[in-house]
Amino acid sequence: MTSRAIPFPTERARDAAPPAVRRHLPRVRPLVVFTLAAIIALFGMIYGRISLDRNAFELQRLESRIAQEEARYWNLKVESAELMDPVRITGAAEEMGMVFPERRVPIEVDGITIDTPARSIDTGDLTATAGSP
Amino acid sequence: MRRPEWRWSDLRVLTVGFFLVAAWIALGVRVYQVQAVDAVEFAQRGFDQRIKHERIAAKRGTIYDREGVELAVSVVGADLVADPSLIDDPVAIASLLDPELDMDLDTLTERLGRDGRYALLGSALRPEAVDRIEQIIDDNDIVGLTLVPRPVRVYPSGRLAANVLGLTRLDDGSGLEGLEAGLDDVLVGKDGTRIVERDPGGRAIPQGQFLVEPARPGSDVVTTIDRQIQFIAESAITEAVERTGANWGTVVVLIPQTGEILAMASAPGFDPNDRRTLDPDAIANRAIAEVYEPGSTLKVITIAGALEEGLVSPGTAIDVPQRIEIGPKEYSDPSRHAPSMTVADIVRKSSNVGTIELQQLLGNERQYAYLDAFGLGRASSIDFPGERPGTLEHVSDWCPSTCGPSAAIGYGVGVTPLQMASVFATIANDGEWIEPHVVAEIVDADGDTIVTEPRRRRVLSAETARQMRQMLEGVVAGGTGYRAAIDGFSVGGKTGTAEKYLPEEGIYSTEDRMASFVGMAPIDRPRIVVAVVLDSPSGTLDDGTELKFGGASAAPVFAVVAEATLNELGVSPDLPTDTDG
Repeated sequence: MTSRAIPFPTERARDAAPPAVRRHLPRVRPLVVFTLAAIIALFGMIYGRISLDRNAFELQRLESRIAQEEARYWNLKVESAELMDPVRITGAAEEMGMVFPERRVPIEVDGITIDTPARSIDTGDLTATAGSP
Repeated sequence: MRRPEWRWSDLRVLTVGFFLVAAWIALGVRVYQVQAVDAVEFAQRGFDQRIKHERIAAKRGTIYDREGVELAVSVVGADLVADPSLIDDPVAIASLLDPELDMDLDTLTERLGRDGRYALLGSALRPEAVDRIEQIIDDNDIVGLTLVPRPVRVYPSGRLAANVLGLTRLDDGSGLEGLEAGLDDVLVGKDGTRIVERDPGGRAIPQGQFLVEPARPGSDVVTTIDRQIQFIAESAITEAVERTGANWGTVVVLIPQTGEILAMASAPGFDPNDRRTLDPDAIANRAIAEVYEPGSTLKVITIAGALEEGLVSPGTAIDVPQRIEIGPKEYSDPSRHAPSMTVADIVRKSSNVGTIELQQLLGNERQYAYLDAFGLGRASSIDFPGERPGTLEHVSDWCPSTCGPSAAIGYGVGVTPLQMASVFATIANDGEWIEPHVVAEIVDADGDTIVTEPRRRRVLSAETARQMRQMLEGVVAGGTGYRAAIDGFSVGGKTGTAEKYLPEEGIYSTEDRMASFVGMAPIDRPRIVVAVVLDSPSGTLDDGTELKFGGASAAPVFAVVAEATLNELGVSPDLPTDTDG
């Protein structure tokens, strides 16, 4: 058995042009579009997330503000009621030198019924008496 | 072929390799265990660490007066707590905080300096105190103090109507006394829950789990109390208690046509905002909590019964001796009078003997029926679960001879001041009893309103009531109650001076009296009924009259309160005034 050496490719063979193959160029446009869409979607999601987070923080801030304003409202109501306290008003009036009238002087006005019912059973309350100096 | 030579370095490599492989296997097993076997449990534990269940405290309902001004309000205050391990100078910090806290300086210093990491320094601090404490903390760079927000009950008018409103507990804010306790179920509301996902720093994680079941606020209560009239009543009774040295005093002001209580004052009173000086004995609403034997003011029931039954008329003259014996007891009149008196005279002079004679005509059964119809022996108001019913034994348990006569002149029957006001309101309202009440309406969180509808029943005919009013006018115009007169108004009423029963000793006091006056004005169509009761007043007036008598101590209080109330309500005088010339 004899062996035959495999012939080395000749220079010519090496330099010869490869067989003609039909070249398939990648379709660039869809890839770019897809990539851009993916990037936009990614950033969109990030933005959406940030936006939602921001809204959540804003909501928390608003809720906190509502609670603060509500507390302030009730504090003002208390302050208002304290200012209307008859004990405080009487003390302040006495400090200013005011005194209770010793006598009451009824003032009758023509055409007005003086017999005024109690406040709870009549809303059109007309006071027909006044303190004299 | 030659075997490779064994070397120690190979063993080290093998050992290291073995441990590396073992470590990786162990790690893999652990990862598998964590990620697969116990995954659910670990996920839940992590979730539980992030998820916080927070209680949303329901706002307690507000109590208003009849004009819609707040009498009791819940606001956001705070508790002040300290971490004593962070406090470097307890004495200095205690002296800074002392003016703002209901705690003495020594206790405050001790708490700030104690071992441990928690000390409660102040509970339920009001918003203005919280602001000042925050300022102190900021100005002095104090570390270790924390203000924990919480609802706080505030009474803007302080002492005004405090005995009616009562107060709440400092710890859980539930009602303790008065309307706060009686209407606790209505006022308290329903707490809500907030489920929120928080990071290790305690901040809410945006987009984390967030569920809120909102709190339902308590209902608001609108009372019938008029602050001006309440103030007048409190001022007058406080002055009377101080002047006469009485143990306590109370005033009730009613509108007879509606049963609305305009004022219910007790002395001594208290300031529910100031727990430091709170006297437990001063908290009671005396108008409903004190049961006493009313004495002569109760005579109106027996006399009204006799009139209603047609046994007598105001002008009927009967022989009235100075004293009378019934069974083992002798009853007498304290002042001399003519041997014959009309029924009107009996009322005017407050004759014990004459009243007992009318009781004898009426009989025990019918007398009891009237006492019962006027509401004695049971709570008369719908708003105060703590109201004492008084004592009225059933007629079948009465002793045959003396129980009826004693009851006729106001002994052996226990009443509250509110019940006596209600008795006279029945006479003022043409004989129709109307349940006295202090709650006008209850408004829930949805704005739905429940208006109080008081019970009503007829006790006397309008004619009998009118006759009674005329006779009561005589008591003020020329009888024992003349100090209750008001310039420009016709006034009717009845004095009461009863020996005070001492339950511990089982006897009547020889010194102490229950002094009272219950009256109404104007007499033709009364707009108000005022009841005044003083426990054991003492001293004398300039003319020598002893203040232990109702006509001397209680009647002037009636005059002051009734005149100011009529003025406040805008009721015109029905008589010429002194200024009319």
